[in-house]
Amino acid sequence: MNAIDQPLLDWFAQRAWTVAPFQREVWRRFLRGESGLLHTPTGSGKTLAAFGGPLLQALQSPAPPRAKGDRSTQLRVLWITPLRALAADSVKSLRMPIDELGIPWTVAMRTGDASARDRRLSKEGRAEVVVITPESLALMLSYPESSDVFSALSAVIVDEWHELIGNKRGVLLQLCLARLRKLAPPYPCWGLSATLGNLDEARDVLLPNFAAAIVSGATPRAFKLETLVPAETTRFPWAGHLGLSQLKPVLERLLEANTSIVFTNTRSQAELWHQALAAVWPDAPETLALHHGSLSAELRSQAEKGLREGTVRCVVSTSSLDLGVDFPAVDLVFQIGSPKGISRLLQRSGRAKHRPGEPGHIVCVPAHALELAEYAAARDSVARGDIEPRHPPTLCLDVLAQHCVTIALGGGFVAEALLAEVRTTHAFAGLSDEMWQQTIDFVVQGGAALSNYPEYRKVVRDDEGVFRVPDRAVATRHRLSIGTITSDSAIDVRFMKGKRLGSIEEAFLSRLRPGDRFQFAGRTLTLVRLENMAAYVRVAKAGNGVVPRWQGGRMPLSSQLGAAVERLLSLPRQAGREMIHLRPLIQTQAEMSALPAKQTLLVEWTQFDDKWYLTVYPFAGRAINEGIAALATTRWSRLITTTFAYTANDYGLIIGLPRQTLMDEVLLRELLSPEKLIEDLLACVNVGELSRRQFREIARIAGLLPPSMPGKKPRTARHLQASAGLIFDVLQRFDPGHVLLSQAQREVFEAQLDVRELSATLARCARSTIHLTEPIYLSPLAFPLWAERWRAEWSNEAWKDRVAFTSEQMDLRYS
Amino acid sequence: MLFADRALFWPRASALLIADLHLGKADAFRAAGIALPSGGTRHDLDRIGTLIDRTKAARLIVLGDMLHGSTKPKRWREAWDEWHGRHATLCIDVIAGNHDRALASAGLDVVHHEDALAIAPFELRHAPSQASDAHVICGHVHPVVRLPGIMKRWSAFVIGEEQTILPAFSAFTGGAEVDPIGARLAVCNGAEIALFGP
Repeated sequence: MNAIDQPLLDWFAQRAWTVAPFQREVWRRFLRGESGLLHTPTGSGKTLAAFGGPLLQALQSPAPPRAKGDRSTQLRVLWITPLRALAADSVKSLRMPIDELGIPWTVAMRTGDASARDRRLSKEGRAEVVVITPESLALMLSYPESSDVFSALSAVIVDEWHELIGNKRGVLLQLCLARLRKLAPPYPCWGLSATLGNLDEARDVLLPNFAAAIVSGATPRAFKLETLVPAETTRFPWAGHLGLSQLKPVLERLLEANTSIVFTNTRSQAELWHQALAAVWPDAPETLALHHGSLSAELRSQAEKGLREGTVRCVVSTSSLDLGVDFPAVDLVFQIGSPKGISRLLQRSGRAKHRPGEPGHIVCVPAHALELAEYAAARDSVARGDIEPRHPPTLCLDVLAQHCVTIALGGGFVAEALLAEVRTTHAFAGLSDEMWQQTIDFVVQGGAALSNYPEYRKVVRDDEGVFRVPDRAVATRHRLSIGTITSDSAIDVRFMKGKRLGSIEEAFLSRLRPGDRFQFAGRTLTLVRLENMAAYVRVAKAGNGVVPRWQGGRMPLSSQLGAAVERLLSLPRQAGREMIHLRPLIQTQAEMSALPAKQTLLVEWTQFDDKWYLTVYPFAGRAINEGIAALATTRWSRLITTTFAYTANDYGLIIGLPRQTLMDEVLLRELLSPEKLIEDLLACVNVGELSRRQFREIARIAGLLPPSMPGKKPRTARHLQASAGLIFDVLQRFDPGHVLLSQAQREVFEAQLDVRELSATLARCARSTIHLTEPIYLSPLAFPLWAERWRAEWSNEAWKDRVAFTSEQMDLRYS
Repeated sequence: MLFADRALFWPRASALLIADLHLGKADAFRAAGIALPSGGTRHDLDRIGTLIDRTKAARLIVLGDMLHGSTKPKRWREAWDEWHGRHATLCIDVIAGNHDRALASAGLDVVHHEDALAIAPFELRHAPSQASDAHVICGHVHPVVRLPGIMKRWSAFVIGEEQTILPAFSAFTGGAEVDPIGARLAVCNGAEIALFGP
């Protein structure tokens, strides 16, 4: 007797491909009607694993020829993808087996980019397979016909679920899937995800209340992490030192490979490497390309096309090429600088040899000596399967409000039934009756107090108790505004007289209060005010106060990787090429101060260059370390009056002050106390302004902003122009208890300040033994923090010279 | 006399001039399904009341766009009727603006001027115009400026040789930026007015 999946086995054999056991497992589970989560790296055959089940089903029971005039829905498989850019590739890779197996199915794309034909096919249910984004799915649900279209659905597949689980788009999808479960007969649902630290949670969020399986894909995938270890040995590492000096070995490796991608962490780094490579590039110049988010879409798609067709030999890129578009021609991937996170490095390594069964290979190029430890730590973590989790947000009432209007449009809802439905999702399982009432009040009467919102008309409860949207103009505007995608924005830094100095991420600036000083563009500046996407500053006068420094657009090391690095550095004699190279550095650290150790918090108190420095090493990633530094300086400045300056990196934080002061464990415990965290944060952070900014996204999602059409504005919306800032002010003045204002404040604490992680780190510090050392000079671990302090103050060349000089002096002293 | 609360007082005529009141703007948003709380209209009317008490003006002249949308019974109408009751002796002239299509039929007990109102030496109208011999006082453009030095967008009076443009009176309005270079501006900054330009 033939195996149940024989047709696919035959097809694989024809193409001389090997079937992976996990692929067969998913097919069989699917045919038994089971749901689940498949975690496997990109490039391991996940598409066919998930799509095989529906294909086999179609082969087993081919649909009878349709009678003429039969208008019943043909939609069988919904393929949900996070990125519009991925949709076209997904359509292609789904069409291929359909065609080769001779299944009479149509595949349509339903995204913002889809053709009119595809949109019609999917809207009318005349395609068997529809590739769709979460936003477009929500849009489909806003049409009353959707209940018919989805009535014969037999499979839902969510691709790249790890990209959605941690954000509001994932929340929107959770709500849409809950709706689908009501509209369609029970169907198997499969999520495809890269490996995450919280796979169980990832499954439960996608498939709440299902008995669903977790299938491991091609793990452990052969993963080769190679490091270009620099020739010279240094004791004192600093940022930016080694990057381009490795140009020659990088070029050599590039020329050995056919096609490669060079990943960097920032746009400026990408520009720099592209420029440097171009200067020594032996081939035709058009075979070297650049790819990052600030480039035009045309240039980017040219580079992608070149990679796909093999006409481009090397692309220098930022995370803009991280996501799973297939480039089978790529056989080598480089990572310049810190990997930042374990899953990120895995994702990038997966871009090479994107074919089932072939190993991922990534060549790491350190830009700074301690990054050697990061690579070694990342390799260890991958071997242990210790990957970062991505936490799903909960209780996003702006998304819920949007969804309520969508469902009111798509045929209407009864309050109790919809409440029960949304509570089946992970995001709203904990939705209180009060929050639900507030959300319904918002969409039905505008706000909690009906008297505040006379004549408001959006969702209306009809005589039978069904909530609907009677107004067509309201309906059209809502459909235009469906979706939750937003991007983080940059704020201009300007002098009061108007001269523009540059731009800084909002996240950094909104942590400052007017009057605070900071370093930028080689100057010490005082923030005068933050307004309308610009920060107005003047050159600071001398005086007491906190001086944080801008760290540039660098993402923090994940706490997982931070902990792994801490573990590696705690032992002086680690094996492995990277760690052997680092031995002199680690030994010097142990002799001068101490090594980080388990359940111990290393703290150094040092005098250097007429200043006193407190250095603390929580290994919590830059964002959290910076939060701790802000908190500790605020607390310290209540005890003594002096000028504090702080800087943080991924390992620790440094606070500098111009004079000697008492330093002991009692003081440290007080500065790093987890008690009164919120009160002290409120004292050092401008929460009002942060909320006002956060409100922009919330106002758009919840439908408080009229949608803007690219190009032209719809005529009817002309009398409805207002900015999120104006609306925020109006709400604050006339309805201060508004449910979305509290949502904005909650998000500031959860997402921007990451209070959960911050308080966990402080609790960990409180449990640890404090090991306070007083090294006579800067220790190797303190050195990069100290060097970072000067970075923004000095011109680039002067800074490099000064750091190189100090480093040499120290190397001499300790050799 | 210019007031930082975006109004102009003309002592000889004992008239308070304002432009772009946009009564009922939040009502229009609400009717379109965008939930904005009421209170803005009353707040704007209270500001007029305060200015009238301060100037003892006998006449209020609205340079167009008194209303934002239609006149169907709305919250702003209650606020207006109540306010108007308190200022029953005030003469109110309204020059029709582009938003004021419903004004004639609204029955607001105001003197309605279709196009312009000439009171020598001025011509009062809604939209700016080059055609008049008299000095034009108008509104319509909601002028705001980004000044070199003070980089917020501020409401401003634009004072020219041939015409003066008033800022929008309503608090809930955006604006169109004017180029501050070479223009004579009176910028409304909280309770103060700052003069810029030649």
